[in-house]
Amino acid sequence: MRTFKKIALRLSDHIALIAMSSIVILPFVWMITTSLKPPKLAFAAPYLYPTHFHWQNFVNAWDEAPFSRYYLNSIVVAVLVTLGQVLTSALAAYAFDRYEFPFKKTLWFTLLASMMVPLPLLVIPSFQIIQHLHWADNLAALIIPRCWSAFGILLLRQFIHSIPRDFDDAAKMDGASVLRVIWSVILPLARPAVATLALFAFLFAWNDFLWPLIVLNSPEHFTVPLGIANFSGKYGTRWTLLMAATVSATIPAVVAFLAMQKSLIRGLASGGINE
Amino acid sequence: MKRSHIRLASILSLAVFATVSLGAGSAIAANKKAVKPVTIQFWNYWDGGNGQALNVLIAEFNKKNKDVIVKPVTFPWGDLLPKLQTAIASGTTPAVAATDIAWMANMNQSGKLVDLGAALGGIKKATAGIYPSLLTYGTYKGKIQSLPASTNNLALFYNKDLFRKAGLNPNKPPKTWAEMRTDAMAISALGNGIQGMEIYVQPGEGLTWQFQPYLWQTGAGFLNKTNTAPTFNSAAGKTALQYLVDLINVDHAATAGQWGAFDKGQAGMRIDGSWMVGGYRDNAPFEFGTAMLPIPDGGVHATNMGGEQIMAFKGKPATQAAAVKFIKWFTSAPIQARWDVATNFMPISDTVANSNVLLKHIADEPALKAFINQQKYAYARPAIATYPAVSDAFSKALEPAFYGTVSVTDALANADAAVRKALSGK
Repeated sequence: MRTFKKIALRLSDHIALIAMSSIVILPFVWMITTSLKPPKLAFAAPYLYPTHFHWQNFVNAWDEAPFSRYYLNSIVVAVLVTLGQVLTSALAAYAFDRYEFPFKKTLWFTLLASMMVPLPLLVIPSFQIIQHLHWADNLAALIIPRCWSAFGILLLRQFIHSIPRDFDDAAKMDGASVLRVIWSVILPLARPAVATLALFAFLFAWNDFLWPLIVLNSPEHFTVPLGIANFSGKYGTRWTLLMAATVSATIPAVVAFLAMQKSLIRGLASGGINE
Repeated sequence: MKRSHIRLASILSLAVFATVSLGAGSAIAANKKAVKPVTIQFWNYWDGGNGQALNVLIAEFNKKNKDVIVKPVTFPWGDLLPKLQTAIASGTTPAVAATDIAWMANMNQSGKLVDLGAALGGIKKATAGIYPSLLTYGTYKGKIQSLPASTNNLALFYNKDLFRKAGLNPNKPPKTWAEMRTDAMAISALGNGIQGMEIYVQPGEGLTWQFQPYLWQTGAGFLNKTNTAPTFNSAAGKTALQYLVDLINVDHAATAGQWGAFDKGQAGMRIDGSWMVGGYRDNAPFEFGTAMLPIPDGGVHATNMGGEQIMAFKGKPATQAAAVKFIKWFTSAPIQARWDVATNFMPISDTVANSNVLLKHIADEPALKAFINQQKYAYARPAIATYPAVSDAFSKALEPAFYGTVSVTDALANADAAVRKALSGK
């Protein structure tokens, strides 16, 4: 009887989970199915499984604009922003956790407060700074200002705080410098948090639309989201091409997520149990 | 010959050779410098087939004009205006841009536009043959700051398959509001979620732009002649709004909600622009037809005018000259005729309208005739800087009427107050 109750409970759990997962997955399935339909059947049923394989949509979408160039730009930006954020966040988080220095608390709360400023509010002053630096219409404008992240520092600091200082001391007694301690001891132990930060940074940089739109003027510097937006215009939306381009744009993000999902889950779960 | 003479002759020869070479070199360099092209950016939002047609024309221009390279840059439609406003504020404007006519008031006031009348040898020469209504958008303080790059209007699209299914004559589209109502009711009676008529009711310029023809047809109008006060809150305005509200809430021949049912073959009729002709011809899963907008009893023909204006931004003299050269070329009749053929936009002048290229295209594409015939009834939306705010306020006040949550009288009164506020800039 008890076994039956257990099975029923597990079954209901799984039904609930499948229902919730479906809400997330169905739009993706619809996107893939539409990307494979001929334009005339874009709105025709069935919606959730492909009955046509009109691969020409992908060819046409890529012919529409220099998407290979956009991809290269997006990859360069997303990878460098991810590396930059992990590096700067790790150094800052270690310093905030392990060292005492003047105005530490003030700096920490200023950092936290900066996370509460809505992004659109920062756009105009950021653009003015970019102009003064002559970085407008340059990929530097997408990379360098995004190499620092208050969220990243907060995330890593919380994780580093849970790593006993004895590890640092042991490494130092063996002659390791501070940078060596961070690189060889702290970062490997903080892998789940680093993976979480890396994934967030990559997805943010990959999906960003507003900032590239404002700072970029030349198609040779455009990123994937700017290219995709042009499939929906004043004179209509080309749904099948839009979906084909979106499927192509989703692949790197899905790959990044699949590669890091175990560490991501551990990282997110650990965030709740740290002091 | 003495050895010293030989040496002297050799030195002189070398000197002459060097001089000639240097001279030739600098001549080549000077020549190269003279033909070094000026590269200019052309910001626009023409995507898809329109963008491809533009690229073909620009490639041709670049090939023929060795002194200018035009680089088209396509931004999403909804983002081009803020992009241009940012560029104007920060001094990073492109050399040329083509914008929605509804944005022209903002562009005109920027102080950054080149006086095209002066640059093209006088207003008369610059605007020769262009329909005067299209010049209203670029005329500012006695100057011509932009020229029409394209124009279009709204007509009635109808699904011939659904007309047949409903027992209606597919070659006899409605000519009056009464006929449109009867046809819409017959089609919606087919059931299965099929709407007789699709009406755009989402707040924003889309709703305003679709509804204005009804106001002009009844004589209600939108704003007064000086664009200082609304005129739609009148008996004629009520007739116009009541007609659409009744189609939705009384006749149940239309549904207030998402836009797109006509594309799927789920609506019998819809009002839309000439640019849709090519798309429906290639992709619509049904046979379609077009007709001039039906009019009310005692009303007049009217449609809304859309399109883009092209302008040059102030900059270095060479850049500005290149921009003006390109605009002159792009707005010339032969290029405009080819542009209209590729895009299904409407002609900007009689010369373009009567060109053989366009006449042949219209003969091949009969669905365009309705648009051509009613271009002369196209009304220009108010060319004022507050128009985006006015349109937004107007559409937001009207939206609840379509859902039946606010009466037609109250919706128009609310719209009147909101538009007056928007006009005052508050």
